[in-house]
Amino acid sequence: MPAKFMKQIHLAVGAILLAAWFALRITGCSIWSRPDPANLLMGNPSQAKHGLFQWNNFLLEKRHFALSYNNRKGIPNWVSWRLSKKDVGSAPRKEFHPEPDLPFWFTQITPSDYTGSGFDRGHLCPHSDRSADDDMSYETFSMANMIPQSPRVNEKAWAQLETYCRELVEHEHKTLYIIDGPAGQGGTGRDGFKEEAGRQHQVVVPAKCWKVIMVLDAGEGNDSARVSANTRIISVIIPNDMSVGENWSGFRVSVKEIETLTGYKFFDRIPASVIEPLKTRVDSQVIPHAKSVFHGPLN
Amino acid sequence: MSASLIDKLNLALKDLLYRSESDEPFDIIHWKDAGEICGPRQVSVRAKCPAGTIIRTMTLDDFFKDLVAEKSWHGTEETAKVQKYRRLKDLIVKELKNSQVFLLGQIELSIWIIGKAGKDDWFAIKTKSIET
Repeated sequence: MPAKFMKQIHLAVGAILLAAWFALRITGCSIWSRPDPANLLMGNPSQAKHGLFQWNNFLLEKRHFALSYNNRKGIPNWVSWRLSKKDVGSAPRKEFHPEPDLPFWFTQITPSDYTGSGFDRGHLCPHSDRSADDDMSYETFSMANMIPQSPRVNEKAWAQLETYCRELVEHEHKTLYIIDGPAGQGGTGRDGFKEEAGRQHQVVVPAKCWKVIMVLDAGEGNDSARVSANTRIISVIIPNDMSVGENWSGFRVSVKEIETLTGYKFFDRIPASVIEPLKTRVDSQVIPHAKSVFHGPLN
Repeated sequence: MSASLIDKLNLALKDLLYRSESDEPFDIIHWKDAGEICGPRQVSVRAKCPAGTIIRTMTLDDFFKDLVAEKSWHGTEETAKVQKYRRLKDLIVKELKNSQVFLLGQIELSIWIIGKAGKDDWFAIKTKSIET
């Protein structure tokens, strides 16, 4: 084969590889991450898409959770994941870091944007739900998985609800489908009411935090086929302020209420005849008192 | 010696915030004639922990591992913070013997870095970590 022809082939291959790299880079797609489709098995609440023009409803499928990101607000719209016993382990906590897989033209939110705000870096998908290995743990410390959460919410009711979910998984062998996110604007933290955080005020402080948890018994086959008229769904709307205590069960509402609040449609991959009646119920299972937690000494 | 060490520690800790789910300042405690403070039990007494408090220990290297590492996304502020943590670690290694890190409690943890400056002369550098 003539050398000139070979050179042209090399150039063409190089150009194709360069174009592919550029396409992956600008769309925020990572060839290294193989997202678990289970995280969106029950649906995509805001019909988020992974595309060039999805500024405020950008679908990002990380390996261990999926989310819709809102570039205007600097926070996710929602985060969704499947939780089972194998996800829980003892991997250590990691360093908070900017999300590397968002398009490069999005405003980069760094951990420092929450410093001095009076709000916690509140995980939506908690570290302990993804603590089976270091890789899982690291992903949860992405700033795309954070919202500015009132310390009283993050450290009390929200933490207690997260613990309750893991107890269902670890002790009662349930499998959970969890979606959570922020709503509205303006919350109260350590330093009072704020509508925004961040050095350029680019992070919206939500007014409320919501969470929807579908509880499935362990079983064979596709989880979505096991959703029935008896499936339990726990949903809460918690104000993002300093009035919140350890108790989360008093914040329970129906899924419909969260759909009204957010405009999202949950579990849209489940037949309407099965899921719609479940969405009107409010979970009424008796919740044990919050376990007492020994915080560090105050002195 | 101790007075100047307090000055050095204060200088090293100035404007330094420990990052977890919140950002918390550091405090220094100095115990003279403290005897030996070497185990979780003695630390829990010093820290006035309620009975049943979960106490974990870490080595100084493990505690500082992420804090002294530069990352590709770091800007000026983050790089300056890494430098501060490197200076703090160097100071602790140089001035305090038998240094160990204790994590007391859950969710709202107290972190105590404890080391010995001389006979019966101990220092604790403490901060808070929110870990939900």
